[in-house]
Amino acid sequence: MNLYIVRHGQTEWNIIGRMQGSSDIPLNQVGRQQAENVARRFQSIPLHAAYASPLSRAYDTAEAIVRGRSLFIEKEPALIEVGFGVWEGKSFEEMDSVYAEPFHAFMNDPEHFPAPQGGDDMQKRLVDMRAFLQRLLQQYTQGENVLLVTHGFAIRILLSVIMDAPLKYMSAFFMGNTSISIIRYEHGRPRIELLGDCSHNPEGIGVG
Amino acid sequence: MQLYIVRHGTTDWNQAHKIQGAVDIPLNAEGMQQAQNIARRLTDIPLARVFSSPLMRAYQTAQAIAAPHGLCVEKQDALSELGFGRWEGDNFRHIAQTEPDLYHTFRHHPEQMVMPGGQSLAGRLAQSVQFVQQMLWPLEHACEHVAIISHAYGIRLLMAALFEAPLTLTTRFFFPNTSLTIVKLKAHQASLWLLGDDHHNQQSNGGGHAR
Repeated sequence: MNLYIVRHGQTEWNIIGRMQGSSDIPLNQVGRQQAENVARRFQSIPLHAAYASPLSRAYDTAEAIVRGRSLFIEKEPALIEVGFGVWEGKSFEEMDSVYAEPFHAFMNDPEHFPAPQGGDDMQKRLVDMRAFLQRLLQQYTQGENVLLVTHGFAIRILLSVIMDAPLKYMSAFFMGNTSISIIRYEHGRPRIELLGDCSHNPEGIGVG
Repeated sequence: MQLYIVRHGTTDWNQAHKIQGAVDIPLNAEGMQQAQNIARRLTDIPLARVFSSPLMRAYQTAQAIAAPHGLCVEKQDALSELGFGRWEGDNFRHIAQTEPDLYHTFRHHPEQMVMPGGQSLAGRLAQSVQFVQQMLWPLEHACEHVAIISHAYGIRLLMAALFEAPLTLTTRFFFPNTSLTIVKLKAHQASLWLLGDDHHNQQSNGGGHAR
């Protein structure tokens, strides 16, 4: 099984720098263009299945990729972005100033530091993601390509589960909008072959 | 500061799936072409320094990258490939069968591993840590863009040092020849933005491949 993991295209909140979490902010015009760009990258890749977070920024990105194929996009709750509770809607400046201490503590070790009020339980998110990955491994065999369209933090949870590594190490991974990451399973073992490829977008790896 | 980490171009031994380690095999014709491809891709990045493993396959790749920028290549032993001793010239599938215990230690308990050539893997990691702390971090404010050319294991060791992560994590990364990996260093934290991208080596046809 080969996992093609794509992060959704740009939204207005990505650009102005606001915490989205489980808020359903749609793709903006750039994001819709990025979705077309990444769809073109996939033209010659056969896909056996497609799963997307039910949030519109991810689902609409998946639709662009899957258009023209006789493939159904399964809405998968395990791929939804991590809920950030009371932090959602706050600007990155606020997160780095007013909420700096709890925010950085949480980001440095999301498994062991308290989630924001109303936010997701990381342990439960890890358990759900692990169960989802197990289902995929049971269902798809070597060489079958599975598309997963999801979100920045959810990707870290997914990588933590795939690599069987503590979530805190994944805080260092920054996946750009519509970035492609590829994990190839061979004899049941994952090979991380590509992470964060945004070369189909003119801005490349994008903002710092 | 942005680090542009590149694995050397391909060699005859790479293509024969033979472990090279400290054996100094040069780039073959395809490897030279790959070096030109990554050099072209990095031409517009204002590189300030180019560090390379002293082994030829890396040094030749580094020379191609440095040339358009008029920079000299700075050899760093800490970027050299892990020595594999008697495993050099062999392949991992064969080693997994003939030396299963040692291979298991290598894959799953790298902190305990003594390489067949006698070098301790922990000691080799300490070298990479020293390079990161003494050569790279001090450049954080002086240089914006630095190229680093190394090897499959050399890069995994470097990543473990940069991210303060265990080798069992970074050894899951696979780096195609001349693939580009981008790590940003800021305020003493490393972040990963791209890993294993070698699409500059692929022929584009129509829409192009994602891989």
